[in-house]
Formats: sequence, C-alpha cells, structure tokens
Amino acid sequence: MTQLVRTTQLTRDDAPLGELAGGDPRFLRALREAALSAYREAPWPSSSRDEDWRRTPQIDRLDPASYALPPATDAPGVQISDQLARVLDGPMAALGRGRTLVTDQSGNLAPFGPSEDRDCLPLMEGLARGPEVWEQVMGKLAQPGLRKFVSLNTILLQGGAAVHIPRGAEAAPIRVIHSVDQGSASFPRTLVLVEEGASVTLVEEWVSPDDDHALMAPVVEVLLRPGAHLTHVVEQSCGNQTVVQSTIRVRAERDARYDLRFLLLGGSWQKTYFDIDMEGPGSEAKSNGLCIGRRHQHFDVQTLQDHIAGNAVSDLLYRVAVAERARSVFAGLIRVEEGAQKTNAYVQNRNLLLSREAKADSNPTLEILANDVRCTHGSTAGRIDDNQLFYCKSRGIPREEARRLVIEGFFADVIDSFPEGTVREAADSLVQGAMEELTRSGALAADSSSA
Amino acid sequence: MTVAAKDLTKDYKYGFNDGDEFVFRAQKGLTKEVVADISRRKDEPSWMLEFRLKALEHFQQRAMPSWGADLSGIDFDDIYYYVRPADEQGRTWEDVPEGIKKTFDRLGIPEAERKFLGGVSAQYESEVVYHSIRKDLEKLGVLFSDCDTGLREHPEIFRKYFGTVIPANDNKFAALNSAVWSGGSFVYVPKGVRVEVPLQAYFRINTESMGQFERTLIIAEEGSFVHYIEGCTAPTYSKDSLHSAVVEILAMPGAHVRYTTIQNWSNNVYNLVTKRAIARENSVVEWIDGNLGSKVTMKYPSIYLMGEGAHGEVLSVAFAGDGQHQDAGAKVIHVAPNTTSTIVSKSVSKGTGRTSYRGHLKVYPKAHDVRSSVRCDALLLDETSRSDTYPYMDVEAQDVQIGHEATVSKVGDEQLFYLQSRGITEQEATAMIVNGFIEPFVKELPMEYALELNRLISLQMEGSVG
Repeated sequence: MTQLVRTTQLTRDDAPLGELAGGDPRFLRALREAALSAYREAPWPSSSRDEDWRRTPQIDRLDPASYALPPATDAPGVQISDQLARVLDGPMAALGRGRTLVTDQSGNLAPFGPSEDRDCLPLMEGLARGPEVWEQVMGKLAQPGLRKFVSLNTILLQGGAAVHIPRGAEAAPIRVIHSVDQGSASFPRTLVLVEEGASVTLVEEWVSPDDDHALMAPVVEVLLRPGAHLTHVVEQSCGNQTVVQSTIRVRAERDARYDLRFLLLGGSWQKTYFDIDMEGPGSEAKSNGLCIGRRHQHFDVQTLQDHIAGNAVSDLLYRVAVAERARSVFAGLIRVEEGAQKTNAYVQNRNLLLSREAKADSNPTLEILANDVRCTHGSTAGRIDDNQLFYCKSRGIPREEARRLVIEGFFADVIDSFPEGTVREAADSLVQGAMEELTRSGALAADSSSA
Repeated sequence: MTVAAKDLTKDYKYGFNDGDEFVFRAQKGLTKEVVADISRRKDEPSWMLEFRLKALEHFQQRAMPSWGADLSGIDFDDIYYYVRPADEQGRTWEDVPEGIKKTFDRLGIPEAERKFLGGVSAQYESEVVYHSIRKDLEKLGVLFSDCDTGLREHPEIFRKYFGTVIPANDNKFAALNSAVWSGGSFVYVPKGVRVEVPLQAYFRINTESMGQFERTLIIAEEGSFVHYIEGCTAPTYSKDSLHSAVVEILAMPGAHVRYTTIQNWSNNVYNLVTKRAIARENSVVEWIDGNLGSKVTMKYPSIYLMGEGAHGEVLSVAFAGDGQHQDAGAKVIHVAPNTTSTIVSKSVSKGTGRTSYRGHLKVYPKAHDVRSSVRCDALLLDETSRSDTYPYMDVEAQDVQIGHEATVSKVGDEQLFYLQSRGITEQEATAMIVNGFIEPFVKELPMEYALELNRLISLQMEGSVG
C-alpha cells in the first residue's frame, strides 16, 4: 500500500503551482498561472446551485485535499503497487508507473519519440521540444477556468501525452494509458494535433486499482486540421473507489472527421464532458458509447455538439444499462449557432433499467439559432422487453442467459462500431468483464424485472 | 429559404385601448399595506388575509428564477396590483358599463353567449364584471363563478382546496399571485355530473402597468366531467405588463377535466403562470395549451398522477414572432403505478422569435408499469429564429416505457415545391404547411376556437415569405 500523503496545498480553492519537472515553457507558465487564478476565483461546484451538477450531489462531498499528489513526472522506473501491476498487464507494468504509458496496438511498448508518421511524446517532453506547436492546442480548447477540474488539471499537469500527426500521414494506432495509484489524484493531459489530411487511431485508457480511493481527472484536447481524421477510443475502467472527472474537447476544422468510441465501466462515480466543436464546414463527428452501471456506481455524462459552421454533421449515440443501485445521468446538448445553416445533428440516449433501484436521468437538449437545419434527439428508458425474453424462453434459453443475450444485443451496435481487430476485441473483453460481474453478483438472475 | 422579418405587432388585432375607466386602483408597488388593503376591500375572512401576507413574505424572500426567459424587464415597483373597474358585478348584459361592453363587443362575447356556451365569465381588469351561468348548470349543482364569489359564497369547499395543489411558496410568481390574487374562475362539479358544454371565461388586461393575478380553482368530483376554456386577448400598451396567474385543478377518482387555453396577450406582457393538476385514481387531466401572444411566456402546465390508473395529457402549441420568447412546456410526475401520459408540443418560431420547450417527466420508484411519451416538434421559419428543447426526464422506476423524441427543422423545401408546382404561392404554401404542422392541436379545440386560431396563425404568417 502506498502511504496516503495528505496534501495541505490542494484544497477546494487553492492548489500548488510548483515547478514542473522537465521544464516549464513560458506559454505554459502563463497558462498555469491563469488557471490558478481561475481556480481560486471559481466556487466549488454545487449540486444545488449549478445546473451541470444538479443530479450529481457527490460533488458536494468531494474534497481534493484527501488525495495525495505524487510528484509530477513521466519518468519511468518508479515502483508501482502490485495491484496496479495487475491492472496493467505485463510489459506495461515493467515500464513503471510514470502514470502515462504509450504502447502500440498490440500492447508492446511503443517508443516514445518522433517517428516518420507521428510524434508521440510524454507530455512534458513534447511541450519542451515543440512549444510553438502545442501553444496552438493546449489551453486553447480547454481554456483555464472553463471548469474547476480543467483549471486544476492545467495547474498540476501530472504527465500525459502529446501526439502530433504530420500532414498527410497515416499513422499507426497509438495507445495511451493513464493510471492513478491508491490514495492519489492524477491530472494527466493528452494533447492531439492531427494535421491536414492526416489520420490516426488513438486509444486512451484510464485505469486504477480497486478498493482504495483515487481521483482520476484527465483533460484531452484534440485539434483536427482540415481533412484530418481521428478515431478516438476512450475506455474508462478505473477501480471501484475511483472518482473520475474528465473533460474531452475536440475542434473539427473544415472536412475533418472525428469518430469517438467510448466505454464507461469503472469508478465509483464519474462526471465526464465530451465537447465537440464543429468549427469547419463539411466536418463530421460520429460518437458511439456505452455505459454499464453496477453496485452504487454513478455516471454523469454531459455532451455538447456545437455547430459553429454550417454543412456539418454530428451524431451521438449513447446506450446505458444500469443494474443494482447504479444511476446514469445524461445531458446532451446540440447547439446550432447563428448562421450554421444545413446542419444535421442527432443525439440518442437509450437506457435499460435492470433493477428496481437503478435510475436513469436523460436530458437531451436542443438550442437552435439557425433555421435551415435538421436536428433531432431521442431518448428512451425501460426494462428488458418481455417479448424478447419470451422468445428466448420458448427456445429453451434459461432466463439469466436470455437477459444477458438481450443486454449484449442492446450493446452490439456500439461494440461493432469500434475499429476492427485488437481494439474491438479489447473493448469487447472489457464489456464482457462487466457482464461477468453482473452475472456473478446475481444482477441478471434476480427476477426483479417483472412487475 | 430567406424570409423578410416584419413587425407583426402592428397588426395586432385587438390592439385597441378604451381608455381607463376604473372605480378603484391600488397604489403602485407591493407592500403589506397594499395586500391588506386588497383583502379589506374584498371583505375577506381573516384566514385569507393571513394566507396573502404569508405569501407576500415568500415572494419577497425568493430570488428571481435564474433559468428560463429573460425577466430583467420586470419592475415590481411599477405595477398596479389591484384595479377594480366597476363596483357591482353585472348579472345581465345591460348592467355592464358601456366602455367595457364595447371592448367585449369587439371580442365577440355576446356571440359567444348566443352560441350557447355554458357560462360566460369575463374578466376585465382584476374583477369579474360580467358573469352568467346557465340555469341548467345551476340545477346540476355545478358552481361556476369568479374566485372571489367562490370564496364568499362557498367558503367550506373553497377553503378545503384553495392553495392545496399549488402552495403559496411554490415559486416566486405563485407566491406573488397568492399575495395579490383577484378574480379568476371557481368551478365545482359534483359527483357524477357531466358538464356537456364547455365553461368559458375571457380574461383581459386593460390598465397600463397593471398586473393581472387571477386565480382559478377547478374541482371535479368523482366520475364527473368538465371542459373549461380560457381565452386571453389583451390590448397593446407601450409599457410592459405582468400577468401571473395560478390555476389549480383537482380531478377526483374517475373524473375527467379538460382545460383549454389560448393565450394571446399583446406583445408587451410578461406572462408567468403556474398551472398544476392533481389526478386521482383513474382520472384524466388534459391541458390544451396555446401560446401566441405576450413578450415573454413562462408556463409549464403540470400533472401529478397521484392515483393508480390516472392519465395525463398535455398538448401545446407555441408561436413566437419578432421579439417574443415562448418558454413553455409540460411537467408530468408519475407518483402512482399504472399511470400513463402523453406530451405533444409543437412550436413555430418566426423572425427573431424564440420558442423553448421545457419539460419535466418524473417517475417515482414505486410507480411501476408507467408509460409515457414526449414528442416535441419545432419549425423555424427564419434565419434569425431560435428554438430550444429542454425535456428533463428522471426515471427512478424500472417497469416503465418512456420515450422522448424531438425534431427541429424548417419548412420542407420538397413540401413547398410540391405545393408551388400546383400553383399555390409560396406564402400560402408556407401557411398551409404551418397549419398542417399544428393540426393535431387545432383539431382538439372547439370549432370557434379552431377558427380563431387559424385566423390568428394566418395573421401571424402574413409577410412571412419574402
């Protein structure tokens, strides 16, 4: 067990602005100072005062001072706990904690550093080598002060990755793993810049060990230059006592394409923002995600599809199954700015309630300031369809298995949309893991579905 | 499609002003003294005075809502809270003062009566001045009067239900209404009685800067049926007016209450209304709600489905022209099992108009076998128009089927092309499409209202195609 170090410097209204190991380029210093003053000024979020937090009262009890702040470093070789080693399989564990690991698709350690088709560096190294590149991205999308945890992430910057895909390149997939140790808080930052016409698949995983409290608060900024294409896979499979606070902000310029696939499976409670700015005409964003809530888990997901330019298309499909006493909160806004004509935008949130105590709040919203648009959203909540169960039963499939099949069917579209090959297999095995857990805990057997 | 924005307020049909002719007008602004004075002049029992004063405290303590429409234009100190136009309540048409009668003539009230609608209760300024109840309604034991009369003549029924659906501290504007309410309708339908003709009331605002705070209380006893209709038109004035009504409905087991309203306040009125119904076992409550006028409307008719088997329905239309913001919606709270609800909302934004659907659908943990569907469609006519949809849905029960769908679009080019290819002008075609769009609403209205609504829509659509 890592010893819990109480940080007196990190509180709800102050944070230590130390020197960053690995240098502190001038623009970064200014950004962090701005973030610090924003953090000091902004009140702590409140479920009674802030619309964003209305359904997540856990925020009222969250105290950042109760987490240790390990020294900010990407340096490999730090001893990691046995538990974390189990979470990170073999070769990655050998790399040591570092908190952010980069590997290739098949889990082999990818060399940090520039190659022909990409420039993938630990965050601090990336910032030190190319401040002029990252100045265009960092703090430009997720501005300091945007949200309390974005400010905090900007001040503390504990590792992360800087991924730069040069113009026209078709880069090999990249896998980035952010981890946090027991009792600690982690504020990793991922910066992604895909230059004109380039394309890449980036898999991000957020992990932590079970059974001890931790705070995982990543910020991801993605800038897609004209015609760029990013397939972005986000997998949250943190430990059962980990609080997740994340912000992902994407800007798609002209004809850029952004494909987001996300799995939300772990953690004790989570607030996640996915913000996509459709900044250029012809841009396209397709997001597909799923969430399996168990025990007392609480998933609060807030999405924004902001159509700044016209002639852009954005879709977001989010499927949720909540079992036991889990709760899902979803708010998805489609905003069409003035003049963004010929916008086509869609949000769909479907909720499957697997127990009487599970809850799902769904709030897809529209704010439309142009008229020549096609904007729709749909939202459903319900339990497993009796007809489907009956169908299975009539074919001799036991009830528990039938329920599992129906849930798998419910998620199949989402999983099938993941990039083919190892990425999809890995995603599928994470989902299977969550389903196993449901089976083990009897959540599928419990005959609570019928009235 | 580009569309020329035109100032439609100039076309406002009922934008005449008869000049003020009132007997008593309270001082501007709101104090304890004003509230006490209103109660004294109405010769109310002491419990009502206490109710009003407590409500005033709530009003003063509560902050303005931080969400919804922009209400910064309201100056509570610059409003008359009570105006009484004539001393006596006119029982027959001849007794009604000439100036007021002229206003009603232009609104067609006598015709409405000739068309033999159940009872006519015309609210001109704060007090009901004209009121008639058909004899057969009286024979059935149906009580239909203004709310002040209800309090005076039927205190036992009135006190039992008044303020039970919407407590005085429910929200800032309900508190305001509770403190200074005046007029509105009181409807009591005894057990098993079916009121076959709709009960109607006309509400009007006349005095400049005068708030109108009517209060409506409808009680439908077991197995009864009633359809209450409230239409609103107000003359245009240069200064902003405030209208803040409270409507309470109680549908007892097996009762069926339908409440139809078309709001067409002039474009300087803030219309901030609290409407709520409680539905007991197997009862049905329907809100048919049209919002055409006002500068700002915030109105979310709600239904609490408290008894097993109850059904709630909200069907609404909002039309926002230049400078208007219709922030309307619906709330359905499923408390009991086996309850069902349907919400259909249609909105049209034109010019710089803005429509918002703001809803809340809640299913409590014990409410199993709940079905609900929410459908919102918005039509945007101009580049400067705006539409928002905020349908909150909280589901805490498992055995439910909840569906929500919303769409926002413009008038379809293909539909326009089809109609134009048959020789219909673009303007006519657009009006036809808009009328077709709100058709599910219009067909629920009594004939004369349907006609009036179609006329109003056509009027609003004039010059909408450039």
